[in-house]
Amino acid sequence: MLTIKDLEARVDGKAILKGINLSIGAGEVHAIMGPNGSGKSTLANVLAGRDNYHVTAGSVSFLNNDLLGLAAHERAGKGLFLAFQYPIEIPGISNANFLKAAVNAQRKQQNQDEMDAMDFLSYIKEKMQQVEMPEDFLYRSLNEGFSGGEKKRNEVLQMLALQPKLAILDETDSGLDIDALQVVANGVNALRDGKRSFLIITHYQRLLDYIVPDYVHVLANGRIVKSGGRELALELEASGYAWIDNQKSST
Amino acid sequence: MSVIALPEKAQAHYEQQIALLAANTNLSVGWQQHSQQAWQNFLQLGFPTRRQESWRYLDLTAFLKQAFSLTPLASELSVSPSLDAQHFLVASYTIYCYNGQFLLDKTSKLPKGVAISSAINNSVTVYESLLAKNPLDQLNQASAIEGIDLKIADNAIIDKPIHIVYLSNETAAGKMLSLRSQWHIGKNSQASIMESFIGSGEVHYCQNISTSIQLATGARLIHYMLQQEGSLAFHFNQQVISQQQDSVYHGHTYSLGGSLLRNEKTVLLEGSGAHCELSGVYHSALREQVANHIRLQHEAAHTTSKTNYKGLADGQSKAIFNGSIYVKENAQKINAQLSNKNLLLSANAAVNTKPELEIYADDVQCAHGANVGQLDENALFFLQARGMAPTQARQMLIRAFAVDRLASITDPAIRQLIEAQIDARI
Repeated sequence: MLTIKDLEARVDGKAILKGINLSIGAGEVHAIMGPNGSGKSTLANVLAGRDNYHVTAGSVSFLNNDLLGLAAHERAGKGLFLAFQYPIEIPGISNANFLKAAVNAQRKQQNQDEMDAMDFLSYIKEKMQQVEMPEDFLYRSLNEGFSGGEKKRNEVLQMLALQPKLAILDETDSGLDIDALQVVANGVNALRDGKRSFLIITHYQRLLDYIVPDYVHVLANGRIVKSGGRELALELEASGYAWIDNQKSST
Repeated sequence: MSVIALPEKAQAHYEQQIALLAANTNLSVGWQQHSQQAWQNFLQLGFPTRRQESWRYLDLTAFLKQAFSLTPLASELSVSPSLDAQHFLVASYTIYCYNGQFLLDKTSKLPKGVAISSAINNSVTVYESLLAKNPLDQLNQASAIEGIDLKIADNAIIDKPIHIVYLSNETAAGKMLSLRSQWHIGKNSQASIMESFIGSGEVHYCQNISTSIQLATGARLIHYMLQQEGSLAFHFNQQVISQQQDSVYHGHTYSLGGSLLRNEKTVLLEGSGAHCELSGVYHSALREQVANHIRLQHEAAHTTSKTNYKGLADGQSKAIFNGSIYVKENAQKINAQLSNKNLLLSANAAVNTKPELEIYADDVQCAHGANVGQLDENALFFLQARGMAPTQARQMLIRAFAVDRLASITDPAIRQLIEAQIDARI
């Protein structure tokens, strides 16, 4: 599904990613954990194709495409989805129009017929039930006046609507109460079908109680310093990230 | 050989036109006196120059060069104007003004509580002296031989919008169409009035309109204005709105086309409890110029106003916004807010925006803000990360910026109409 090789990236001239190697197979759920400033969100943004993140070395292959050679919207069209850490508010675009435009933009890229308004409405209403969102959210401006939890639910709704092949969740759990966390987790779990893959970026292991990962990686100072199974997350929960600094100072 | 400056040349031209008009029209003595006085005022003022603050950013050269004719068109009462479907409000009372002439006999049957008559030769033509310093208004008064008196009776609640449609086409080529009207919204009455200015044809004409709007105690008026003049047209629009106690005025202005549009809107909050909300969207493209000058004059205590205009400037166009809030001495407990946001869509477009406060009372809450910006990079990336190509993402954000202002339109048919016109334009 996704193969990252020796990826290095800079933001504002500063080296943030310093050689990432990661391979995600179809149907796998990977979690990336790490302290603040380790490069977690940079990795997510580089993969999604954000402008001011400059890749300086390495390669990324996504479903046999050279991911780094594609524009952001083309990556989305190939089935890559990024759930934003800070979803954007856009007054003047209704949630319904935005969702429909997104779904149809991707269908167009995939040479599928665009959905008409009627079909789309019944399609999206079903997805909204999954994330327990009342229907009136369709007619409100995109994320405008939404609470933190509602914005994250809306991200999950977009994921459900777009049915990506690989979903990257960038600290989707930050600022969520336990109920909202469960809704987010249910959304992800509903999409786990043995083919779809997930990359879950999180600071805390809490979310991983609900979305059980196959692999856990620890990112520190722009590199993956440790990989393991689910138990690694629990280990981190118990011991914190201090050991990374110890390891660094000993090398 | 001495060179005569353009404003003086234009002035000499209009002096001839005024004389011609006076000789060929048969107006009441009262109206003629008003006109003559206004012309004297105009002569003292002269055409505006860039040295005057409120005209500083507008380029009037093309307008002054036109030397428009003030004589009215030959009577065209046989014409039955029709509106294309996209501009037609099905549920409304429609009044037509065709190439500068009101066709009152073509007006739809008006409901009880609405009376319309020609303002010409009407003795009640008392206009505010507030515009005495605006040369275009003085020129309007000196040359207007058309206008309506629109009266909403006390306590009347008008069920449907009154739609005044100003249509101009090739026939108006070379003409200055001066209209001078007044509306009186009676005590505790409620009405909504929409004005659509629709121009077609690639011809130079000039609409010069002055309207006095009076809201009596407890009156509520929603006033929409859609400006879609011809691509070579000039449009000067002066409005003075006076509000008595507990009256509510909502003014919506959508400036969506014309070579030069200039709106000067003055609201006098004269009675305690009066409330005013002004909302607007303007879009300038190519070499168009659009200017909105707004003045909220809080004359009485316990008056409130809220102004929010958004502008889009594309091509080599120029957009001007000037919003001023004035609070009179001892007019306490005032709440006034004013906001103007602009998007620059091209490196060659220009926006000049200026909020002004003039406050002579101390128990006052006033907030104002104005900015000029570009599309939000984060929002652009968000839409692209959902699969939209850069051009589509950009288009969506531009549209959202403007359409956001339409949320305050309570009439769904009017909202749809305006939304469709904005879509057609951007």
